[in-house]
Amino acid sequence: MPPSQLKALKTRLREKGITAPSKTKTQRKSDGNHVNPKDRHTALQQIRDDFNPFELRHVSTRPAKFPSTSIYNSAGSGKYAKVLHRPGVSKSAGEDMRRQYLLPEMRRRNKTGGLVDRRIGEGDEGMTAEQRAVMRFTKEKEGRRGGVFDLEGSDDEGGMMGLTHGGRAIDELEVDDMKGSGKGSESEDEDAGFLVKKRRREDEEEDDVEEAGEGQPDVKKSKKEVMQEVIAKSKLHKYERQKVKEDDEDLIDKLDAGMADLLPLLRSQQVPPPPPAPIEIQPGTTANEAGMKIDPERQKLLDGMDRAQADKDYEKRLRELAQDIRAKPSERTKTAEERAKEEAERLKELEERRSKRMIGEELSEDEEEERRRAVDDEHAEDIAVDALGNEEVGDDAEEFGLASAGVESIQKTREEVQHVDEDEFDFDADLVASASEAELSDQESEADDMSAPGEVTEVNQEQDEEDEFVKGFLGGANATPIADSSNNPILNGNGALAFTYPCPRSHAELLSIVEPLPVQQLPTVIQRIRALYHPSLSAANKEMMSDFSRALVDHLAYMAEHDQPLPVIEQVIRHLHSLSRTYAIPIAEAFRTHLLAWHERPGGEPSKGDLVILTAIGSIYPTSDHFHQIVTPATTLMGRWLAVNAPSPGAKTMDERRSRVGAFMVGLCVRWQALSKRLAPEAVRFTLRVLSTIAATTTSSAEVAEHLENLTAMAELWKAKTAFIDIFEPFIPMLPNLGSAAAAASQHLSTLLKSSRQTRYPLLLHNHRPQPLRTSNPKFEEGFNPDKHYDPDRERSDAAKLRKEVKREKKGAVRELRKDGAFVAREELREKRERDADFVKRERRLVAEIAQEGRENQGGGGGKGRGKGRR
Amino acid sequence: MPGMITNGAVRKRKRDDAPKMDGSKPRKAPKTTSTGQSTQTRILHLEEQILQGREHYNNIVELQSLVQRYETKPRTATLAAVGLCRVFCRLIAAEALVKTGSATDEEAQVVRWLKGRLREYVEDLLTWIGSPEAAQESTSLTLLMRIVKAETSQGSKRSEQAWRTETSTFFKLIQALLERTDAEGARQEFGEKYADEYDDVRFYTFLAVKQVLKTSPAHSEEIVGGAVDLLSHMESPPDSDYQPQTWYSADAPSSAPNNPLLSLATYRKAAQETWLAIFRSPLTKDNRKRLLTLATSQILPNFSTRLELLADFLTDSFNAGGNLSLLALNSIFHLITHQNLDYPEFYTKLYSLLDEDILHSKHRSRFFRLLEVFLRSEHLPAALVASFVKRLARLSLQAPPGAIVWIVPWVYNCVKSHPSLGFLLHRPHHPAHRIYSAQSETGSDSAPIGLKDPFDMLESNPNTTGAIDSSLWELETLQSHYHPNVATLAKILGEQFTKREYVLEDFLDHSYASLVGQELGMEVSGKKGVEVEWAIPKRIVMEEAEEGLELNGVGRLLTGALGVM
Repeated sequence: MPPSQLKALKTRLREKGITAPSKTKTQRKSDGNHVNPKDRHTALQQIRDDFNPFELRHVSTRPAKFPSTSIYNSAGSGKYAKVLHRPGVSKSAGEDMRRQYLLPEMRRRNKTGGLVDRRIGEGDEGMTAEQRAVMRFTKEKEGRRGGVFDLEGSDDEGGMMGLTHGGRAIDELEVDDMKGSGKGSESEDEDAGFLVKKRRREDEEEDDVEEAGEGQPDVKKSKKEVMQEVIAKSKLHKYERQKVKEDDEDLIDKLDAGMADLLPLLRSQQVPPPPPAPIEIQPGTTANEAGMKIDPERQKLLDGMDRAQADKDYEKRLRELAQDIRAKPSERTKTAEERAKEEAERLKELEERRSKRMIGEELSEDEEEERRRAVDDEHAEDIAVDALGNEEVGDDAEEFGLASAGVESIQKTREEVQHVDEDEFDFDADLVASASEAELSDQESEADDMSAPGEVTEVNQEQDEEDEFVKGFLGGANATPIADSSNNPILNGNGALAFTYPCPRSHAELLSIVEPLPVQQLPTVIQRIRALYHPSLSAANKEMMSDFSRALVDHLAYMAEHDQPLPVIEQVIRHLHSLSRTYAIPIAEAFRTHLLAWHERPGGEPSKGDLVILTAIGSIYPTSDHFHQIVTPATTLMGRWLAVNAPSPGAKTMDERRSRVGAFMVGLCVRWQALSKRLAPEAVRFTLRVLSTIAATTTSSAEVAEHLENLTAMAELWKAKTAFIDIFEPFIPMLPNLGSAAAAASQHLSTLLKSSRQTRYPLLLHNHRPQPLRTSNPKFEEGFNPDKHYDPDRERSDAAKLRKEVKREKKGAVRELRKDGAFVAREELREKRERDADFVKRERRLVAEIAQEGRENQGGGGGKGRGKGRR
Repeated sequence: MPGMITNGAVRKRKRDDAPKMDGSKPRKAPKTTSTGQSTQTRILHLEEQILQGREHYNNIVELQSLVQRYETKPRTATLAAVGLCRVFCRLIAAEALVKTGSATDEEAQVVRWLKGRLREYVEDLLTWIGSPEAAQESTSLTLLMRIVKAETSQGSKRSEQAWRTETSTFFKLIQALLERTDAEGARQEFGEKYADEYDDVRFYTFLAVKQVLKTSPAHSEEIVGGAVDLLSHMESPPDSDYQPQTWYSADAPSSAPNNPLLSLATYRKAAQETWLAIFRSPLTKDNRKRLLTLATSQILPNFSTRLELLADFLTDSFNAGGNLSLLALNSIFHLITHQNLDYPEFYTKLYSLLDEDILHSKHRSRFFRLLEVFLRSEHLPAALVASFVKRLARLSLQAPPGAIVWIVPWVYNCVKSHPSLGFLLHRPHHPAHRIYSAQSETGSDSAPIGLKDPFDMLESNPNTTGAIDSSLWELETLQSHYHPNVATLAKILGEQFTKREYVLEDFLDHSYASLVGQELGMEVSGKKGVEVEWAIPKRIVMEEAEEGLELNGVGRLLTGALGVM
């Protein structure tokens, strides 16, 4: 027979040291390890739990998982860690909650209106009438204390004046509402879920707060302390108000100071930059200087702010100070070596950028991102195609930038000119090249055409070079505003060249200026115009100059048409080059307009202007780029001309015009590819055909020399290509027929061929890593967890999560409702029983009374009767 | 029948002075046609009179004279022509043009006279065919066919005659259609309205065309051209379950089994012989081209028995070279695959077509399309496909971008379907391999000796070119083509072959125009900006020399080019 409960309890208490056999005083003193009240509490709780095994439930009801399926979430670990559930406690808490909120509601049911007694202590069973009276009296007293003359009238001290609703303070109400939703649902089932968990957390927090409160000695403050606190607070508030006012004033002052800067801008005049703004005085220092004010942080510290917090703030401040801009030494004049080094670095960087462009890499991040997105799209498209098993969904050619026929057809309809097909091209030698004086529409040139990614050094460099073009003019021009001078050119003393011109904004205007002058003066005129309308002089100049640059491009073609000397043309090209640093887009558009005109010209025959334009393009733009908006179409156009105009194999005579123009284009192609070494098949074909034709006939040696030169250049350019042999071998048999001029070329070519033969090996293009098979959902997960969702479809998994949550919430709500119902039923039953009991009681009493009465009547009457009877 | 006699007498008299009346007409005509209304009523009146009895037959002559004056009064002439057509149709239906055995001399004379008028009328109408006026041409065709219908609807024997004899209206119509070079509209209309609709018309058209070709005095090229044109407008021939249902002539041929119209074999024979007649006659290049384009769809199904004749024609065309061989290719391939034609060395001939001009040709895309079809089969020997691949690669070294853009994905597809072609792109060193072992025997060990290309460009047999042992250096070189899109496309050969195949149709129709237009059609985007060369060269076309400035290389070329422009 086990020992009795009482005995067991006693022994346990003794073991834990809660009840000890009474000790002597000395013993007690020597016993240093006095039992901590907290430990004592936990010990007691444990004993209680042990003796009430049904008040606790240890593990969750969820069945244990096999460790094989889940190593994380087996019972008692991970998500399902051991939680001690106290079903009894939570149940009684719920019951209390219902009694508190649901019961009054239930009682008020079916009753409308009526008065609710909100007096203090009313309805509180735990108070006696005296206590209530006392409470009410004190409240009244408190409420009256804050009088009209109280200094801190608006402070929190007068809290009793706060807003109320239904006789209760607002904040109190909110708490009630929150709790009212189901405080009683500290449920025994973990399925109770989300809200329950949240509530539990809240409870814990509350506990924490309580514990913190308990941790500090709950000493009642003396009146003096309270007063001090009050004074400090009032001072703080006052300070804050003043601070706000000061800040406002500061801001206004600052704005006023800035107005001086702003006004000239409004009047569109440039004034020397204002003197550096006075150093802003830190509010803290002012406070110190003022002496009377206290630094708010310090004040806070004085007021007993958390020490740790203060330290943290201090550290933060310190770090901020360290990062503040300190006074910097002015820029030192660099030594020559340093400058050379800088220049070298700049060049290196430019070269890096160039080679990147040559490979075709994107330069800036956002573009790269764009491309990646495009790749992703492509990938997605791929998948779609695979899924459908249908290959004809996307246009394969589109991927490589080859527009489909749709685009082409649009293009075709746009062009009035019917393009002659390449093989049926008939050569129109009489084609008169007309001056292309296509007026450019006065397009709005964008102001932000500083397109080149602006490194500071580069801008400096540009400035340096630009000085070369406009030197001597800017300095003088800066001092005297001449932009508003009359439109008529002011003639110089000797009457040859004017110093000022109206800015020509179209080619016609430019011609009207330039035509009367000798051609050699043109660069000077351009130089002067550029100086006069330098964009730094006026905001409007920028637009004017961009129009002028367009006109200059047109003029370039015009000059070529009119056979003006090449050195001048060269100078104009250089001017354009320098201009296109600033006006890249208008100039590029002008070049493209010329290219388009050439493209759409019937027969695709270039004019003289086009040849010069091509020369200019090769000089101004980086021809090594993988793709360039101007160079690429220009190269393609040249390729087209070369392909169309290559003499047919059996040709007996060589058209000199074709030969010379072709030689120029091939030469240009070769020079353009000097860095990137790209292959131009048309150039090879053209040269091959021309040389074979010449070999069959006899032509002037000058032409042959040109083509042979081109051939040598091409061979040198592409000597590293694997197909070098295949490209250049066809030239070998015809070279001996070309006379002595070809001997050197032939020698050179055979040497290159020989070395190329020695280094040619079969291709090894596919040294790829073997590609893994494409894996799809469901895939193998390394540490699979059945509770986790591995759905790669984000939306679907989110939806599933939400559905589950809704279900859980619904279940919880149903359970709560059911419990409420049970509670209501129980209460009603109880009331009914009470009523019945009352009824029975009363009935009994009545019956007893009646019986009593009856008895009395009977007894009296009977007695009387008997008495009478006896009598 | 006294009436008859008098009529005959009248007839006689009238006939005698018919020419006189012709002469007198111009005088009368202005009066009668002073208002359109009166002319119309007059024509109607004349027409009615003719139908009333023989005594008014002379009105025919009057109407005919109206018909002949189309140039001056087209409306009247048309009306008269329509009226006459109605008259003749009724007369034919009433068998007024048939000489019966019991007819008297006079009757026979009347019939002869009427026949003469009819012939005259038909001749008049035939002159209208080939006129530039579409309405006139169309009217005459309609009316003539109306007459044909009337003629062919009088009993099986006579209608047969009306179809076949060389004097019949139908035959004359076909002859006119073939002879007039500018009668394209009429030929098309005839093909669409009659030959396609009516089975008998189609059948007899074939016969008539053959006849015309046989009898025409000079086997002139125009007639052949007309014939090709006419036949090209006719619908594709019937298939095996040939059930002629629509007849143009009113009396449908009896369903007797021996009726030639009802059997497919006869029909095919007629068509076949017609085509052969065309093949035999002298053909211009254009006609040949047209024939070749028609060959697969129109001609081929008719040749059930004598395929070799068609094959001969195609072979001739193929051997002619140039574009003709291109066009012939398709039909030959069709014959090989569908009709089991034994065509020796088809691929050798195809291979011989690959020369450098084909990539620059106008028919490039057409050729590519066919080439892809011919070489699509996975049962072809890899060595053969390799030869084609290698040869095209070699040619692409001088090709325009539009051709390269097709060749690269095509090579990709070839490698995909013939995995052994992968060695053209990736050939790791293996000492046992033939090409290396041959190398080690001959070459010395010390000096590095590159691989000699085993491919022989001059070998004409694609099976023995040695391309399978070669490598596609050419396409690797094209990865650095000047056009960025082409270069990027060529890079696919160096990447992993993850795509199943490229749809070659998307790569077919690219040209310089599309490449340049595509690029220049776009705006210069302000966001990206335009890269500008950072260094401004001191000199572009000139260079410093001892004595002042002097032209440099570019400058010399430029002045040279400018000098001749």
